[in-house]
Amino acid sequence: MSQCEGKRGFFILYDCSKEASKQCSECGRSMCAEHLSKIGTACYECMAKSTLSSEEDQAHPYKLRHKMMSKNVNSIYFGVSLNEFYDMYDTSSFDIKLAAVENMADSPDELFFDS
Amino acid sequence: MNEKTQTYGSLTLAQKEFVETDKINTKMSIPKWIKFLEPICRFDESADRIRKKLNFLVVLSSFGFFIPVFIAIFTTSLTPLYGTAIFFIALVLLVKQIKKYNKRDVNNNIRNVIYPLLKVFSLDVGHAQSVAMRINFNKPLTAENLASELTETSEDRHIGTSEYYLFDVLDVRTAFVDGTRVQMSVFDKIRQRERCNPRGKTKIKHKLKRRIIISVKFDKKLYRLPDSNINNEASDAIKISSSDNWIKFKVLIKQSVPGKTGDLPMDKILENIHYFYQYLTIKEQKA
Repeated sequence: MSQCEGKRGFFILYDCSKEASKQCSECGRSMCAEHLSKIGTACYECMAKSTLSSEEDQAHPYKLRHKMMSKNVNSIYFGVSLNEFYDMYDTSSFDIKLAAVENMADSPDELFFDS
Repeated sequence: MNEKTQTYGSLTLAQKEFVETDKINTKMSIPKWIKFLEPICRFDESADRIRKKLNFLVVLSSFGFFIPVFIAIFTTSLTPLYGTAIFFIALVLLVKQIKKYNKRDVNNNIRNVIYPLLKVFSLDVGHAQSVAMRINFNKPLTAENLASELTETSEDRHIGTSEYYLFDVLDVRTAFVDGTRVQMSVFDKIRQRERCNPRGKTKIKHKLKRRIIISVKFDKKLYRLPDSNINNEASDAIKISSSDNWIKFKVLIKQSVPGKTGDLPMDKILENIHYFYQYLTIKEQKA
């Protein structure tokens, strides 16, 4: 199975590393269970762009993300394949896999906040 | 939130303790926080709906209490007074029920802000990453929380007093997958102002002054602050600084509302964190 084409992140966008399970009925992209609606057949990112309201809690952060990224300039994307689906966000793309950035603390609690 | 009803009895002991005390201080992964808070939010939503209906029934019963009395007077019969007794018993039971629900009222910021905020953060926080949260929406205006007091007089007449109570209501700390550390602290100051007019009548008013401090640290392994943006503060409320490993942003959001409580401004909180990213550029990574 191919990799999920949805993007994680709220303040930045980055590739979802999970395996795709189904295709979204709206955009046709391959999506993992986390990105697909539990009620319908569309992905949360399509639901975010649509003007229809959704009862699903999980759709709400995607709607907020869509609202914020459509408003702001220079949103950041870390990854290697930014689909044309995201063309409406003014995104600067960086060919960086976050998991590969060395020595970036995975936030062990003792390094949380020193001040 | 959907319309599914959650009863108090179906909550776990830890959830019931949170509902009763409005306090918690722990750290968990986001999926665990969501699993913990979701039933509490559903319970609070259904309890609020029930409380509204009970309040409406109290108003109806109050009117209903007096109608049989008028009927008894006009008909000069005692029989309608049975209706008064029934309405009186209904009123007592309704008030008891409302008191029980009031005791279990969860601050609406849990349902309207904190729970959705955790959902938003879940997009940027790894599943295993913990979120440390200290919540205390229990704000009794007692001597323990009294920070200062001011007495006002005019021409030897006591006009009133202003008492200021301080509360540390919320502290949230977590880290995103890009190494960014986020901390949000909320402090509430409630002013209770008592005023005496020349006729001796006393009025008490409350005002909430809230301070929200958002601190965000960006990892220098990934981000760079262009020289042109150092010390370039977008407003007096935003402070930028840099250390060996971190680029730090701090913003203060102020709120002032009448009363003792108010909703946290979720949109402003998210916009500010989003805004910080605009100041940064990405550092080239070694291949």
